[in-house]
Amino acid sequence: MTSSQSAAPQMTDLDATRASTWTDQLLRRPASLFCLAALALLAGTAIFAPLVAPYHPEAVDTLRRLQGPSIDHWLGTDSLGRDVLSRVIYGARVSLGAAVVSVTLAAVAGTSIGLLIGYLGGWWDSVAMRVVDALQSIPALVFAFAIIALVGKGIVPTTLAVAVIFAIAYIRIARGVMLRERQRRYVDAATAAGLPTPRIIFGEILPNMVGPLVVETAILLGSAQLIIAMLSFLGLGVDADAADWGSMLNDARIYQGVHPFLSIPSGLAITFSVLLFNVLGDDLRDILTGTQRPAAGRRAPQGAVALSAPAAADASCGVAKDEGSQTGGILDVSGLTIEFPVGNNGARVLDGVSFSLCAGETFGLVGESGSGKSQTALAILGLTPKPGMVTAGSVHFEGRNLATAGEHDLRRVRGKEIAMIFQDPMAAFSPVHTIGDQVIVPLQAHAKLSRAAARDRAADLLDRVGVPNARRRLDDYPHQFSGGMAQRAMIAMALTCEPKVLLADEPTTALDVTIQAQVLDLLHELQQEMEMAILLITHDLGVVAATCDRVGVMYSGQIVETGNMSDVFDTPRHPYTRALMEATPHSSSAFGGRLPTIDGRVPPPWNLPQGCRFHPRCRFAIKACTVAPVPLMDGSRCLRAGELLMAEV
Amino acid sequence: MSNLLDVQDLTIDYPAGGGAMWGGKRFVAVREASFSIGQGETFGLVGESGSGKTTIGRAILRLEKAAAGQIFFEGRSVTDFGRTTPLSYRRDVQIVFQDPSSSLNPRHRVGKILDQVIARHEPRPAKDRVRLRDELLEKVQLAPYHATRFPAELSGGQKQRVAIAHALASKPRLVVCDEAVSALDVSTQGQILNLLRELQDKLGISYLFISHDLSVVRHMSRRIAVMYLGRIVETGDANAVYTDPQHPYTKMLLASVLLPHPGERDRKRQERLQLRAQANASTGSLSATGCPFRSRCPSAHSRCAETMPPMVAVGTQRKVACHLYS
Repeated sequence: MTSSQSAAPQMTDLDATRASTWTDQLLRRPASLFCLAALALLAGTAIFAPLVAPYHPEAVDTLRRLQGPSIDHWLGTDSLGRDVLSRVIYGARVSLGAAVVSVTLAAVAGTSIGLLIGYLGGWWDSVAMRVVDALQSIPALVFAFAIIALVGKGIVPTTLAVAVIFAIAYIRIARGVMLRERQRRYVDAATAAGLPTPRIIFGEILPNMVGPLVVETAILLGSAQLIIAMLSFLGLGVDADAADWGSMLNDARIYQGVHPFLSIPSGLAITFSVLLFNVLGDDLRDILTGTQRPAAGRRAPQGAVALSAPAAADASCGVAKDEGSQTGGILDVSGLTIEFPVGNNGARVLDGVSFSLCAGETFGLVGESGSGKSQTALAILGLTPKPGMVTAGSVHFEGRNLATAGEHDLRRVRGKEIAMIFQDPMAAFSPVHTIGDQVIVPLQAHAKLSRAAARDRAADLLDRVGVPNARRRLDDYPHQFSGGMAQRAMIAMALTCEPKVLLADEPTTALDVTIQAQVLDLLHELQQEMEMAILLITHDLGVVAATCDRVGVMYSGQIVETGNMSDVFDTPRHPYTRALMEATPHSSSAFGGRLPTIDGRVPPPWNLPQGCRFHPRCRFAIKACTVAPVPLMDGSRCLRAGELLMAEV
Repeated sequence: MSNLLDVQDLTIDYPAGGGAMWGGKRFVAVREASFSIGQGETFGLVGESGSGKTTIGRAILRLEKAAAGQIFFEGRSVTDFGRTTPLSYRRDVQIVFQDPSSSLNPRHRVGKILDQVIARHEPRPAKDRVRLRDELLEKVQLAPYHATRFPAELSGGQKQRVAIAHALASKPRLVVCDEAVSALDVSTQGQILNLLRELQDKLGISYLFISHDLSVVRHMSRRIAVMYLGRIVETGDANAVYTDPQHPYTKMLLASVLLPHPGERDRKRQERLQLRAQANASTGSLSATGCPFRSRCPSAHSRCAETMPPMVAVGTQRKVACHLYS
């Protein structure tokens, strides 16, 4: 018997994608790279000012006052004949230095306070946050004036004032992240492991807020510079004689009429350095909050759209449930193939998937995560997430090929004739509208009902799916519904148009056992009433067995076995189906020994094995299995389907 | 006393709205739960969401405070520890959570995640700790090179193995497995369940195995308790409970389990419909008194609304909290 013991250490991680860090991503962006380089240059200039600057910034030369740019003085001289270039260079020391010091102080103090009040919670948090709210309601400049009035003029009070103002921003961020992270299980795990509290706060939680803190710091460095320059300009900050961009600007203001050029060097210095920080901050924010790699991208939740004209003549098929046939159903999926660009090659997440769905029957697609079952459902509605593309195959619905249909045509089919329900009902409802509105509005639009009539119909539907007090609950918001009730409401919404096909993607996975059974029984009942075809997608063999007439077992983007429910489950003809069933603990089997397991894991779509895709994990694999892809023959994608006795699970 | 863990009349509540500071109403998450776990035994706790099973696990770890009742670990009262939990208790009792992507700190490498716990409980030179760490990884069938990985670089099953290694690092005697395999695919789930069993055989650990999945709990546990809305409604030998449920809720729960046997589905569906049809939906609103299941119960009568049925022994190995038996 295979066992996990031999399996685990052999598993290679070569295919495990290394998470690319935010610093890597930052360096890949030209704009950020430029900003970083420019800032480094600026910092270098400031630090090595005595080496770089041609003159001493205080060297007065009264004979050459207010001169324009020349060979001796590249940016001219100011009112006392001091070299402007040297003053801009030395000014970087003061302006950047004060900004860096104030933001550092703010970051250290603010983050610590925020972490602490977030962790302590309760009274500490409430009181501290009220104080923070009060402080933040005072405009920053007024606040700075107050502090300077208390402590006095000069570079130190200015820096302190800015630090206090910005500390508030850090308190908010740190507390917010702390409140979020405290809910995460790793904090509980650390507590349970006996790590001391300061270790948990600073060693465990703090690293997880580096992202937001870095973004904030970049933005605040820019703002700090502006505020310091502003205060200096007003004569409150740095000494008027000191080389600082703000006070230079103030100086230039006096001689604006005589020598307008004087304001340009310091003005540009301020503008550019602030701009650099802001662009950098924005880029960081994009990277840290933006979408990650497309390959890992999840679909955006799509609402179960609703209703339209009642179905006319029913294209009831009644075709023999022959697993080979791809035609004759109400919905025929044939050779459906979806590729995602990965590197130079495409990764096939779906490869030649074919099945047909007849009116009034339930077809189950079952498989583990990554097998492509959800992709199949999304592709039927033309919702394949980008950059994925349908590269082959067709989806025929009532004579139309949905795989090549335009968005306009698809929109007429979605929700009206083919509806979809999802695992998470909350994702399908808009939280700001009542459940009633979300069922009534599409009813009005598609069925051309009056509001009152639509409301009646909506109440009937909710009542039909077993929501108690349906009429009253129309006015409730989604969050007022429990998980099971919300799932019912979503089913009601999907059924408003009496769709011919219902795609149900893990419709009960998030529900409790008893509720799951109720919802599935409900679907069964509604199906019998409405002669609707259901495509049920699930990882749960129990759910399939309880609901489906026919089933397709998916592995690595292919259907590996298909047939009548009882045939497939009683006498599986593919080793994967059999292994899957064996690996499922049965509540009818008593306290038992080892569970049979499947070694290894599903191969990633960009690195598929030669031959049969299951052969590396298959205990029945022979040489021939590794040579060429195995076609689906007689309902099984296994070369040895005929010779192996795989019954008796 | 031979029991490793004794939980007696444990009650846990939360502030219900209004915030902690204003002393508002309290929501009772667990009411008077009692059970015990022996040395090297697995005790299963099943129930649906909101039944309080996770809260009990967290209270044992002292991640929640008990409002009333007692928890004893080897005769020591855990509920009387006070503000700080003794390190020895932290060493003895550990937890594995449902979702390893949340229970492992995404910013730390696997090596650091494990080393922190080793260093905390076995202060030794770094070189020895590396050896201990590698032994630990081997125990959960991972390789030493996994120590250099970040959790995001591992598969779901591998992450859960790391979470188990994290729990084992302090050499605990009781591990609370809170939905430890619920987030995993079927094939991986089997691997992890086998691993937990092997570790138990080798190390003599006791498990409190919490899950909503009745099949998984049955596979793992010899004795179980079924919870509904904060109360244990039935407890006893797992085989007996599964084959011959006594409490109406347990019956409904087992009828709702969907087995991968298509042949039985019509019979099960009929059974469920019957149970549901019998349930008289209007037994008044839920109150603190009375049986929490009465509004869904097929056999509810007036007494159920008045008093909470006490736990009574049914047969030798079973206790049921239902007026049908009291």
